[in-house]
Amino acid sequence: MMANMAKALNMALREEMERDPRVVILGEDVGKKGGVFLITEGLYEKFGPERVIDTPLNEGGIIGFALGMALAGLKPVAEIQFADFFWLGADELINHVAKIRYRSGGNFKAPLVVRMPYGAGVKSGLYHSQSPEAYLVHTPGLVVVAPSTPYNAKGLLKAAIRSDDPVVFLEPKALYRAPREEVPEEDYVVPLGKARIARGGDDVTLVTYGAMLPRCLEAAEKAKASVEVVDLQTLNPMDYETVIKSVSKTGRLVVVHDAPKTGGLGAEVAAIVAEKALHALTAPVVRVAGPDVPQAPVAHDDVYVPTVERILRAIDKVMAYS
Amino acid sequence: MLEIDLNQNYKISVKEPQVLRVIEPDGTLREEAELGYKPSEGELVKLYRYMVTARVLDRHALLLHRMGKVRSTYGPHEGHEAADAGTVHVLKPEDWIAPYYRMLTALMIRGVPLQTIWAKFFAKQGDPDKGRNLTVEWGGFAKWRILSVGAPIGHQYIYAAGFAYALRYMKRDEIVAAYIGDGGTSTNGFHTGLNFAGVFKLPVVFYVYNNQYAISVPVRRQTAVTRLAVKAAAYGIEGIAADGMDLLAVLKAAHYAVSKARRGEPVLVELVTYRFGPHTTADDPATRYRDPAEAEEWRRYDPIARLEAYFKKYGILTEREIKLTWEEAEAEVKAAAKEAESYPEIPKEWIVEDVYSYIPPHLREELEEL
Repeated sequence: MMANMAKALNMALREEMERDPRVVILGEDVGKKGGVFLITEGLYEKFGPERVIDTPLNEGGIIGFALGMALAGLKPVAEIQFADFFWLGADELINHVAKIRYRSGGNFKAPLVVRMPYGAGVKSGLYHSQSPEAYLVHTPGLVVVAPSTPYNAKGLLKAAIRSDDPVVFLEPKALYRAPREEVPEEDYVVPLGKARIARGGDDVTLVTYGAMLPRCLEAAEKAKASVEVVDLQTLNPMDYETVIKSVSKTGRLVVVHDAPKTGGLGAEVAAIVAEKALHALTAPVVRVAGPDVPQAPVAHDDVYVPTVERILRAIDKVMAYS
Repeated sequence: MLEIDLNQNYKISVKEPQVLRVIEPDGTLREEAELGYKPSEGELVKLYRYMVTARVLDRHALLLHRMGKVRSTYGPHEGHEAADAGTVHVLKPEDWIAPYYRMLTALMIRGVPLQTIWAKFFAKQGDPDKGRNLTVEWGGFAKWRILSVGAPIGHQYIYAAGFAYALRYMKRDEIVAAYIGDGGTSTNGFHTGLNFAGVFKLPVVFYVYNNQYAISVPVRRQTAVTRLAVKAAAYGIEGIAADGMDLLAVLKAAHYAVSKARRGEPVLVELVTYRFGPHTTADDPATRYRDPAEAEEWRRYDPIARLEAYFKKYGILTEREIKLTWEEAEAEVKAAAKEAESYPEIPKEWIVEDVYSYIPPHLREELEEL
């Protein structure tokens, strides 16, 4: 069926709950309201209050409660209303969920999913716009995923729910209502830990993920050069082989994300390429990122987020080398 | 300015509970002995033996830490034996413990072999945590239905609530006993755990070991209330308090709380006790923050000495049997340490295991560099 990303995510949740009675949903307003972005719409009515659980307003509580459920053998899918609020549950997520398999010598595991809408571009200020992926990928033990299309959103979320590891699922809220595409109604997963080539090309590798994918594809379309777009899909553990393979072919790397530049995921991608494929580069690596300010100001939301023009300039910059 | 006289109708009032005590310091039974759960003499003697073994183990752990054999900082248990013994005894074997640190007696009662505990203290093979944690962070004792604790305290109260929710969801007739110290009552985890358990009416008992100190900070600096059990009122659950160094009082309070929890009524139980030792081997209370006379005063209430006084007074154990109990514990603890010392070291390769359910390629590469 034709579906936008919000609908595709809803389909994934519904199908996984039908498939496995251990799957439960918890979070703020996920019940009767169906979540502030309506991702859990209709699930309370279908599966009832025991499986679609409105919790008190406490992110540490939501993540910690989900941890307990996972330790007992359930498959909780926790919703943090905005990624900006995950900090209130950072201890539970980073100190406990991520480390419990390790600190228990493999005697406990916490295969849960924490879904959180992330990213700027919807004029929502400092606390409804953050892109915290760099903090999260710096936490061994967590799998960090960011879908970019309705199709991979459904397949990745289903894979996350079935994973034996804790997954943070960063949903690009700017793409929730982006144009629909064909999303199969039958069961499929998009495997975790695998990047995909979103568009083939020979001259430049654009590495991106999540919310920035449509802009990268648009820039690739408009560029004079032949641009290959790598969609990471899983941010950690990262599929660097696909990145290296692409850069080895093109010799030019541009990394695009809307999170602040310093210490961002772009730095990690650049470092991996420098370590493993420096000889393949014919141009310096260019990062196109959000500026190092606290977050997108409401007045300058459109300036903050990397634009197609900025991406095109970066492509021109690396194409100046040959 | 006009002052409004807000009479009692417009104010909350919380009545502090009394602290339940059954055995006087000299071993005499109070009339509270008739209340609630009445354990048999045989049960008490069995628990006493675990308590003695735990204390002997605790003292040897301190010694072996000084000798450098216990690999990381050690947090002593002395003073907490009765609190552990009573609260764990009233659980069924299939119930779960969400621990905090000082829980040696609990481990004994759950059947964790002494060798396993020594293997953990020595960070050798045989440690369920694979040598990854401090001595008293019980990370991976799943086999004994002891959940996992790490140093940032508070989280165990929240996940205990989530775990209990899952038990009920799966229609399993099991409960969770969660533990925290007096300092822990200031954490987000404490409040959140109680709040969620109250809202969802979960089968959990929450214990607070009020041992008067969070490292150096006395309990009066954690909270303006004088009885920690009153905090339960804010979450719509029951709070009770008992002398945590009086095995009979702990058993009665814990049995009551567990019975309620099985009916989906969570309870907060404050057990008043004292930490006779330092916070850890990296701490020195006597020269820094605690008057030694204070510790001496609390020694009157020592959980093991009190039980021995009671046993002798009522003819349950003789002086000789008591002496024998200590000698046997000493021999058992030493033999277990000797055995565990011979266990193999933990191989380097284990460092990359259990980060994920599989070893990702980048971790394999990183291992090669070590």
